[in-house]
Formats: sequence, structure tokens, C-alpha cells
Amino acid sequence: MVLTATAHPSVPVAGLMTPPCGFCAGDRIADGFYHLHSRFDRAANFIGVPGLVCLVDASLGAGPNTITLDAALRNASDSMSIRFPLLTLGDIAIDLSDVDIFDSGIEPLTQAIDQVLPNIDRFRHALPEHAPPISIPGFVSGTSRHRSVARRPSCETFLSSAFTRIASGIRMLADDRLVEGLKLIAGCGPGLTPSGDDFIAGWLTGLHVATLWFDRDESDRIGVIRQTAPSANPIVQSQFRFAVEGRVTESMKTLLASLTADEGMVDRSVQRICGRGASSGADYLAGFLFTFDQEFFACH
Amino acid sequence: MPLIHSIKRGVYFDSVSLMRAAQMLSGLPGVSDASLVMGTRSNRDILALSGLDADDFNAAGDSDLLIAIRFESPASESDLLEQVERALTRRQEAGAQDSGIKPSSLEGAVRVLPGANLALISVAGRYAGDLARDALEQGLHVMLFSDNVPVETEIELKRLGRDRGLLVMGPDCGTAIINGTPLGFANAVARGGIGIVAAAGTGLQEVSCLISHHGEGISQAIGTGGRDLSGAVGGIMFIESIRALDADPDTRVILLVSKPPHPDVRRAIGDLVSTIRKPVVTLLLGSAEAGQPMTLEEAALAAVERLRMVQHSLQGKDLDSRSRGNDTVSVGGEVSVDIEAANALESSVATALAGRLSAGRRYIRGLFSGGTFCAEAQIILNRSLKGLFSNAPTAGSSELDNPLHSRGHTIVDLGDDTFTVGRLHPMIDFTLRKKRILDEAADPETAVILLDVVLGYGSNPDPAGELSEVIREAVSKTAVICSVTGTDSDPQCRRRVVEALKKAGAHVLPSNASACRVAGRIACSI
Repeated sequence: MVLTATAHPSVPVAGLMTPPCGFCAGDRIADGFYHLHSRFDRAANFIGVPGLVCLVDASLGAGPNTITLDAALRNASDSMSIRFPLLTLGDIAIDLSDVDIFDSGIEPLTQAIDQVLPNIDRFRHALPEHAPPISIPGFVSGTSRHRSVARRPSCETFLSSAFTRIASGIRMLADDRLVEGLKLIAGCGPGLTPSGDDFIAGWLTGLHVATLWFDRDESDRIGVIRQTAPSANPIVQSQFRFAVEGRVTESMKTLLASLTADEGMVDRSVQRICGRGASSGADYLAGFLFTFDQEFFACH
Repeated sequence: MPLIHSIKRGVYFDSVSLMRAAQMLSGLPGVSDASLVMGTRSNRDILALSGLDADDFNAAGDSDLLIAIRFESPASESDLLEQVERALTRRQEAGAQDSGIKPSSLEGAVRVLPGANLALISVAGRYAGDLARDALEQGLHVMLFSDNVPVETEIELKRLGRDRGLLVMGPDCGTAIINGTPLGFANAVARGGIGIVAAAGTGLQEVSCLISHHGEGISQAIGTGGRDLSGAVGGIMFIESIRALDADPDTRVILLVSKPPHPDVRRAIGDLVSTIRKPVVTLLLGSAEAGQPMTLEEAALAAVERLRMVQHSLQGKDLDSRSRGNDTVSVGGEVSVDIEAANALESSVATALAGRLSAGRRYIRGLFSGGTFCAEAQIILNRSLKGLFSNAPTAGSSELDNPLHSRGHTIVDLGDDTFTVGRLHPMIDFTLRKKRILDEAADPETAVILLDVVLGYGSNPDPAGELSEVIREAVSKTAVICSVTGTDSDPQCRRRVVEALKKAGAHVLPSNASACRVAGRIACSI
């Protein structure tokens, strides 16, 4: 079952823990048995038949499939079961009855489009400013300093090749050569979530927003992307699925809200997302921006 | 060249871990290229284009880690794979052990440690300004380790700090010692009566260590960041720091270290210094002012001398300041440095080394991790040599066309952006320097390889272990001269490092200035 904010009866378990203040669980987490997939400083990813659940440090914020827990609990066990409202990590049971459930859905646009467009322009300027040099925005559209850093011979050969390939792919996408471009971009980048896949996830989110806010029909394009860029990596699969469903993290919701608010909020929201991972956040935002501003990428 | 290739099924690492491991491998002797990437089709294509592909990589999937290492002997396959394993495991263990209290905001940190009165900020420059402003508004002094902070932000922060009576050390401030606590790259020096204000990190380290070697100590050492003395910033924090040391009862002598400031700033500092009753020693590295110290070593010794004068004066004894008659720096009746003996030592080392060099070897190649040492080397060498080149030219040197290749006498600052993108600072990561030492030794025109080795917190934990092998190889062709900045109380222990470097064949001099003088003597004698 999918978690909702509806109250559930507590399950009496010996030694049951009450979640700490600020504890939050995403609304796309389903009951099931999960085993450890990967563990990092601030996150532990568990995989099961229902999909992926991430136990994360509160500093990462809420997401559709995240549960905020401190490091001791995140590292307590290599397996986990969720039978709402009970979360069991090894021999530790946590009562989820009263937790805050994060609503990951994207809100419909309530303002006139004219009010949003100037903020998209602000987003366009903020992204290269806050993106790390070694990231898609840093490479294809950053300042001259960004570009010189990413293209220097001392920058890793693999990374230079990877970002050059992604930049070529993005230019093809801008020319509407979707399949060719996606083949270059998908899975391109060294780490757990390759930069190219982060870009695609951001683009899919952008296409959902374009449909919801601007009444654009992007279903064909979304279909081509899903078909051309499949991934066997469960974390990427989860990213793509949530993007297509229009489910986003707390920080992305804040950014979307800021696109209808004042300039300062856009800048701060972009800055916060750009701080995610080595380049994941910035690459994701590059994909999102690509939906609305292909010239930005094509002209570099 | 042979290729090691390996697939680790279902193993996940973030891109930073993989990049670091690949960089570490690429820096190993005998390794020409290395990549660690997830096995997606795109990544396999890129490996193929780089000549790092292998047939069995075609069977890898998106969830598999690919390891490809191009190497030549003497590296062995099992050793390299073991190194990969160790690099990746270390990163995982570091993450697993990191389960203590870890505040995620400045407010959280202040709540966890309510008595704290200083924030050390080391985040990307674009975020550092906001964080520093928050810290100042919460009443915290700031040490801003970050660089790439806009000058407008620096001015705003420093004005705010001045108005609130708080120090803003930096941006780009690498070293400070506050109330005996070393911050950033600093050394375990003795505490004592000399307060230092410095715009240069390694300069501050050198003078504080030399003072410690000569039996005195540091009350406070305040870094300001190099841009503080520009006309735009106006020396705001340099001036505030001098005032702070003037008011500090534990500071008896004030030592100022910087490159020559903007003329207006210099005038403002001079005006302030003229009102201070404590002795002030000023080193403006690169300005040839009569009666002022010219090198970090001279500045440190002058401060020691002035302190001992103050101490003897307080004890009511007669002063016996510098006695030039016997070329000895004599302080309060105690001999601190015998200049004649130092000259004799430098001369004998230079003569012995010059005699061993084969014909054609005539140039100095300085490979510095400290920017101030690089500048000091040029200042000293340009007095006796002509035609110096550097990637950070000063004192009449010419700019190198290509910092990766030496020409003539070349002094390189390896901390320059050209060398540090995607790598740790050369005081921590010796990979490039080791390669360059071997390259320079192989150049038939190289007579002397001149090095600085900087110890202390934050620096490479085993510099002698890292450098010994390449020094041993280099000294079969050329002379290797170095200085070691640090103390025996540093984590690396200076004495042990010096012994190991000497054992490898390097000639270790007591200061960077001394090492440069010896290098200069050799070059002049050829």
C-alpha cells in the first residue's frame, strides 16, 4: 500500500521507537521487504519488489520515496520491512503512525503564465552561476571559468569525453534528433546516477510541468524518451518513474513554487538543488531547463 | 602497454569516490591512465574511444562497476587491483564511521557547541559569502578558507566584521593559529610572545616554525588572505588584526608578513604602526627597503631578536643588540644564528654538489607547493641569476609559456590553478610533483631540483615516504635541495622527515631562503 497522511492504528511491539521530531516519509513508499542496495554518507538505498526506498539524512530533505533517519538508524541493518505503520530495521521497530507524510505531487499553476516566464529567465541565469564546474550546466553553458576548468587537460580524460558527448547529445535533442541524442546521453557519466540520466530525469520532470502548467502535449516525446533511454540501474529507474508521474523532491517543489514568486527565491532554490551530489542536482536542473529553453544549450 | 580490466558486479559508488580513486591510480608510478565507471553503454563507448575497453566489458550492465587501468612495468596487476580495493574501501569506511553529531546548518552547529566564537568556512566560494555573513551576524569570528569569493563580498564582510569587532580571516586564508589552536594548514608551534599578521599562508607557516625553532613562540597568528592588501579592500583586516595584537597582553612583538601592499594601504598601515608602542617587524616580500628583512627567515629572526630585547629590557638588563662586527646575530648576549657558520655551511654544500654534476647541467628547477616560497625563491635567485622563468613571475622573472614545461632557470608554483583543477592541493597530493621531479631530473640541463616540503595539520601525512623514491632516482643525475617547514611536534615530526629525506639523498637546509641561496650558489658556480 502507499503511505497516506491518514491516521493508522499503532501496532503494539516491544521496544517500539517513536520517530524523532521532524521525521518525514515520502508518499510513494509502499509496504514490502527491502534489502540494502547502496550506502553513502547521508543516504542508504534499499530495494525491494515495490521499488526503491531511501533512508536519508534530514539535510537532504524529503522526497517521494525517502524516509529521514539519523545515521545510527540508517546504518542499523542491511534489510528493512515496511508494514505500515511499522518500519522494521533489523531488531529496531519504528512506529510511523504520526509521521509527516511528504506530498510529492506538483501543484497546478495558479498564476498567469506571464508571471512565470521572467522567473524561468532568472533560473536560466542562476543555474550556471551555482552549478559545479564539472557538471552539464558548467560544461555547456557555464561561465568562461567553468568551461576552462572542465576542458583543461588536467581534468580527467573520461569526464571531458563524457561531458563532450553529453553536450553533443543535447545539441541533437535541440535539433529534434531525439533518438540519436538520447543514445549519446543515456547512462553517460561515471557514478551511481550518471550525469546523462540525471539530465533525462530533469527533462522528464520539465515535460510533466509543461503539460500541467502550459497545456503542452508532450506525451509522444515522453514515450520516445522512456523507450530510448531504459536503464537497468534501479535508482535511475526510480528517478525516471517519479519524473514521468510528476513526483518531485521537497527542494524541487520549492523551486517550482519559486518560479511563481520573487527573484531571490529562484536563486536560493537553484543553489540548494545544485548542492546535491557531485553534479546530480545541477545535471537534473539542466534537463529541467532544457524543456523551456533549448536555445540556452544550443548556442554554446 | 598492458591493460588491467575488471568488473565488479552490483557495486555502487558515487562519482566523487570513483573520480578520486581514478586520480589516485593515474598518479601511481607506471600507470598511464585509469578509469572507474559504471558499465552503461555510453560509458563503455567512451572507454573504447580512450583505448580502455576490453571484450568482457560488453557483458557488463548499468549496475556493474568497470575498472580499467593502462600501465607499464614495474606495476603489477595484483598490486594495482589491491590499490583500487583499498581506495574504494577507505571511502566506504570513512562514510560508515561518520555517524557522530553532524549539524547540517550553522544554526545547528552553534546549538551543538554554544561556546564557539569562530567559524571556519570551507565551502565552494559562491556559497561562502552568505555563510560568512550569517556567522558574523551570530557574533562569530570567521576564517574563510574558501577562495573564489567576489571582491565585493569580501569588502562587505570585512566592513561588517570591523563594525562588530570581529575578525574576517580570508577569503583564501589557509593558515591561522588562534589561542594556540592551529587552523587550516598550520603547525604545532610553541606559544610565546610574537603575534603574526600575514597575508600569505605558507609564509605564516615558515615564520612561525622558524620562530619556534629558535626557542620562541607565537601568541596569535592571523591570516588575512592575499587580497586584503589590495586597493579595493584597503587592508581592512590587516589593520584590524594589528590593532587586535596591539591590544593583546600576550603579544610583545608584532610581525607583519605580506607582499608589497597597494600604496594607500601601505601608508595606512605605516600610520597605524607609528602609533604602536610594541616593536613591529615588517616583511614586505619583494620590496627592497633598506633596513627591513628581505626573506621570511630574516623576518623570523628579527622578531625573535626584538622579543628577546623586550624580555631583557623588562628584566632590567643591558641590551646588546645586533653585533655586526663578527657577523653574528647576537641577541641579548645569546647567539641565535652564526651568519659566518651558516655561510660556510651553504658554501660547502654548494661546492660539493656542483662538483658532482655532469657537463651541461646548469639550470635550477624549483617545484614549490607554497606560493610564498615560490615568490621568495625568485626574489633570492634573481639577485644573482639572470633569465628566471615562472608561472607566477615576480621580482623580474619572465612568465613561462607553458607551466608544464621548464625552460632555463624555472620556478614553478604547483599550487596554481593550472595544476590543482580536479586535484587536491600539492601540499597534500604529491602526484604531479613526483612526476615533475623525475621529468626534471631526466632533462640533461637540470642542475638542481629545489623543493619545499610543508608539514603540519592538513598537509600530506607522509611526505618523506612519498618523495623518497623519486628523490633517490633524481639524485643519481642531479642535485636535490629542499627545506622542510614544520616542527618536531607536527603530526609528521620534522626531525623524522628530515632524516628520511637526507637518507634518500636530498640536501635539507634549515629554511627556504637558505635552500634557495645554496641553489643559487651552485648555478653561479657552473
